[in-house]
Amino acid sequence: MNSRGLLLAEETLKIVISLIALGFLVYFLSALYFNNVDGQKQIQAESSIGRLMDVVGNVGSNSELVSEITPAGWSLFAFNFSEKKPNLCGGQACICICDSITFNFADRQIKECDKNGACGEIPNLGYFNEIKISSPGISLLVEKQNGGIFFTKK
Amino acid sequence: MGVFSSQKNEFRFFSKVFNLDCLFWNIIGCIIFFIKKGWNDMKKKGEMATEQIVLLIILIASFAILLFFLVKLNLGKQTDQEICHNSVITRGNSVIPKDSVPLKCQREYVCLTTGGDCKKMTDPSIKKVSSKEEVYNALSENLANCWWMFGEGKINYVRDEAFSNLYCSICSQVAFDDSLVKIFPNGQIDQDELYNYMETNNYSNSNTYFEYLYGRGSTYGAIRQQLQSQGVTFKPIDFSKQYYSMMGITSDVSTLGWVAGAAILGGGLVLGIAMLPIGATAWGVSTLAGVAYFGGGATAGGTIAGLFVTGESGDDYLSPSIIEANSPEFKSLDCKSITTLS
Repeated sequence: MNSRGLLLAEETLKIVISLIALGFLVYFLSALYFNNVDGQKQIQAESSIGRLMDVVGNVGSNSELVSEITPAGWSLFAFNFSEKKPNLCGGQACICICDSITFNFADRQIKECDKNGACGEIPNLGYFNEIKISSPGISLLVEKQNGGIFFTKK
Repeated sequence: MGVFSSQKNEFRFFSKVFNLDCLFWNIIGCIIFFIKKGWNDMKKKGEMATEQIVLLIILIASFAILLFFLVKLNLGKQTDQEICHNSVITRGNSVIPKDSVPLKCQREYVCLTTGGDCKKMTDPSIKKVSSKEEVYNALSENLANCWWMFGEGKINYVRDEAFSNLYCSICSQVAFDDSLVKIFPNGQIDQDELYNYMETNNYSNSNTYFEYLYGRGSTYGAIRQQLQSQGVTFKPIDFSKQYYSMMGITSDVSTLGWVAGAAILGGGLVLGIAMLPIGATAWGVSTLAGVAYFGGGATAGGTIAGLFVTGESGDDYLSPSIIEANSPEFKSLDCKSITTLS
C-alpha cells in the first residue's frame, strides 16, 4: 500500500503538471491566433474611424453616408455621458469601434476598446446605442442635429 | 421451533468444541489488528500525498508571491522605457532605411492623485502626490523621461523627406484626479510655475530639468521675457482635461523649411502651425529654434503649443511639452504621424 500510495501521488502530480502545461499551450496558441486576427481588425477599425472623423469634421447641415464601415463582428460605440471613457478618447466624448463584450462589468467594454480598438473624439457627440457591424460591412448616416453629431445604421 | 432448537444445539456444540470466549476475543483482536494496520497504511499513503500537495502549495504560493512583487515593483515600466530608448538608438544608427527599423515605444497612462481612485482613466499608472512640489516633480520627471527615451536631441530617428514634417511622440497621457483640488484649489496648474520649478530643481548633479531639456545655461526667465513681449503665454493645465506629455522631431534640418511647409499645408498662422523665432539663443549644445503657438498673432494673445530646439544632431525637435489631448494646440502642430503606440 505504501508503494501504491507513492505511485498514486506521482501520477497525480504528473497529471496536474501536464494539465497546467496543456493549459498554457492552449492559452499561448489561442492568444497568438486572436492577436493576429485582432491586429487585422484593428487596422480596419482605425481606417473606418479615420473616414468617419473626416466626414464628421466636414458635415454641415446635410447628412452624409459613409459606406463600408468594417470590421464585421465588431461594434460602434458612443462614449459621451459616462465619466469613464477609453483612455484613447483623452477624456472627451468619442466613438470607438471594437469588439462587443458579452458580460459588461467592471469597465470591461471600455478596457476592450482601449486594448483592441480605435477611437475618435467628437466633442458634440449625440448618444446612440451600440451599432453592430455585420458582414461584409455597414453604411452609416452621419447627421448633425441641434449641434450634435448622430450616427444611424443604413 | 424445531429449527431453532437444533441451531441452539449446534451453538452449544461449537461452544464446547472451540471455546467461544477465546474465539470472540480472537476475532475482536483480528479486527483491531486489521483496522490498525489499514489505518497505518492509509496514514502512510496520506503522508506521501500530503507531502506532494504541500510541495505544490509552496511552489504555487512562492510563484504568487514573486508575481505580486514583480507587479508591485512595476519593473515593466522601466523596461518599456528602455526598449523604446534602444529602438530609437537602433533606428537612428541604422545603415538600412530608417522606416524598416520599427520604433517600439508605448504610450504610458498616468494619473496624478492625492489618494483618489482616478476614475477618469482605465488602469492608469497611479502617482500619489501630496504637495505642489511633488506634482511639479512628477510632471518634470515625465518630460525628462520623454526626452531621454527619444535620444535627448542627439539622434535623428526619422528619414529625410523632400518636405519637412513633424513626427510626434506621445510619451504619456496624464490625467489629474479631482482630489488634486486639495493642493490646487482652482483646479489648474500654472505652467509658469511648472517651468520655474524645472529651472530651479536639479534633474542630475550637473543639470536642472530646464537645462536638460533646453541646453546648459538656459533659463526660463529669459524665454518668458521674450514670450511676453511677443504676446504668447502657456495655457494653464486644467484638471478636467487630459494632457499629452509629448515631443517631436522634424524630418528636415531646417526649421525655416518646416515652417514654410506647415504654413502652406495648414493655411497660415491661425489654422496651421505658427512659429515665433526666439532670438538665436545658443545654450550649450542645444539652440532654441522657435516657439510654436496657436491662435492670435504675434501680439494678440496666442497660446504656446511647444518650444522647438535644434538638437545636438542638428535636427529640430519639439521639446517635451505638456499639451492638452486633442486640443486645437495639439492639432495645430499638424503631426504627420504619432510614432508611439497607444
